Amino acid sequence: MQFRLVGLSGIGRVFIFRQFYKGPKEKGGVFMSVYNKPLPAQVKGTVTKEYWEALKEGKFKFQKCDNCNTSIFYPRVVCPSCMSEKLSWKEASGKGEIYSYTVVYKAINPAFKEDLPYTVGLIDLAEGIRVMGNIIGTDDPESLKVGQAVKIEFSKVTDDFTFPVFRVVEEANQS
Amino acid sequence: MSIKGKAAIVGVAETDSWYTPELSPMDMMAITAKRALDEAGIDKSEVDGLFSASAYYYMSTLSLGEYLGIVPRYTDSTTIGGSSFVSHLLHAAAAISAGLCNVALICYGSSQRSDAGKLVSMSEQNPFEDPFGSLYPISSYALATRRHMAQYGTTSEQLAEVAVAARKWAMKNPKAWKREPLTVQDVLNSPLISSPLRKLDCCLVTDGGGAVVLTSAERARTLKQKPVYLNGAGESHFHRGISMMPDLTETAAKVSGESAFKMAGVDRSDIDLLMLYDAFTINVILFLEDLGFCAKGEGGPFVSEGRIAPGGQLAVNTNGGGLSNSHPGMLGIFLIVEAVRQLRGEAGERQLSKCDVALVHGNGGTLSSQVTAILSKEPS
Repeated sequence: MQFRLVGLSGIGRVFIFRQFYKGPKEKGGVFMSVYNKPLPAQVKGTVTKEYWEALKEGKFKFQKCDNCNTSIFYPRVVCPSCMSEKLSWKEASGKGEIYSYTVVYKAINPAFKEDLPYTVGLIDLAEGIRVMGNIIGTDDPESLKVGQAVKIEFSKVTDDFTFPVFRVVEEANQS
Repeated sequence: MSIKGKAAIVGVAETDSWYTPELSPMDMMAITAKRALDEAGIDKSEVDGLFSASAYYYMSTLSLGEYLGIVPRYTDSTTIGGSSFVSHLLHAAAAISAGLCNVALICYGSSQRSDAGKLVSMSEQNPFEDPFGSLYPISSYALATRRHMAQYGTTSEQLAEVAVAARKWAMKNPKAWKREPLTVQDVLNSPLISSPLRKLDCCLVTDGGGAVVLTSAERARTLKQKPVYLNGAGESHFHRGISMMPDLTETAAKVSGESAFKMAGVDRSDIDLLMLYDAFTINVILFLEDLGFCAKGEGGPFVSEGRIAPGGQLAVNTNGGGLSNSHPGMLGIFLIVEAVRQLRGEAGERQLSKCDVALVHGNGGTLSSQVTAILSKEPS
């Protein structure tokens, strides 16, 4: 795979051009030659690398403070509650509920145009952390409810990045 | 030691038009600086405190000082979003009280309408939000709106009331960008951008600049304009990115407002004018609640039936605000300018019959930074 870094627009905004499998288009993705949506800047060896690497293996990892037991997301090197540096990685169950959501009808970045309308949610995971991600699995996104159950899935967008997405749990399947 | 009543605003200015392709953002800062200083009757050589924030100039007071030939003793480019200029009021009063400067000049300019027709921003990437196509900043405010609706039953009609009230004020302001009549139904008919927010729930995109001059209360009493005293101020923030906001229905205005009211020693009932940072309709509802003008969750019903429109019980954003007057990306300085004009009795057709105390509330980022200032005709 060949990487080519193109135009840096804004701070740390890197667009990577390469072959990839485009995930979120639901029923079978589409092969495209370019992924030009925002990707995280190269994470190198920082603490967040553990998070991104785990996603690639289909795991959603977060930290817990060994000292005060606070659940922590996004990844940090110091606990935002007690300042302890002793933090341990845990794996989330992937179960959560919609804390809030918005359906986006207009693309400012043209790369999102073909996805319109799409849903951006804030999901409260069972482990006590809140995560932003796209909500999938409904034909009528405006009918989603705050508090509705969702389950995590993993969407590979490039060889380097897999993102969490959240699928609405059918009511019959909710337990 | 308190800074209550120690500093006063003695000059204000804003650009003549909200579309000025012939002016750079720094040109706007310069021309309004000149006018604000002229209005105050203070010579440029006396300015020894410089304050600015910008989406265009990374170290904005350095660019401003260079352009105007000002060598400050105190320089502050605090950039916390659109609230920055209200924050500068607080910082300038503290610096003046401490003897670190005597005359503070606060400036802003933006050509975002001429440049791009959309928000110009130096915002850094957020790897935990940007990949998902969240529109910055609209979707963040939309998420807060949806949560407020779910938790408290706030409706799209109530949001629309905020936009309609702003428009009714703007129709009394000859300079306002949008002055044609607007109804709740018009707002509800406008296209969804990031639901539940529609186009007419969102602020304008204009050009514009402004300047504010502050000095000590003692000096202010010797100058041309009626002084407008800074009697209370407070600032705070809970988060940067919306996904880290602890409770989407409660902003740090609760903290900044409490600080400002405590310092000023006034009650909510003493406030004659509220200038609330209305980048989106939900802002006004959240700030009325968090600043204590109604209970949490009751902002929707509170803004209904014309309560905040001309002739209503509470005057809010009498120039038409960011929704109908102007919004060049950072609104804070224009909130201050309008409050000062109302307190001086210079607001023309929209002048309030009684305006002794005004509250200015700035917001920045995605409901992130919150800064409250209480301005008054009297120093206590």
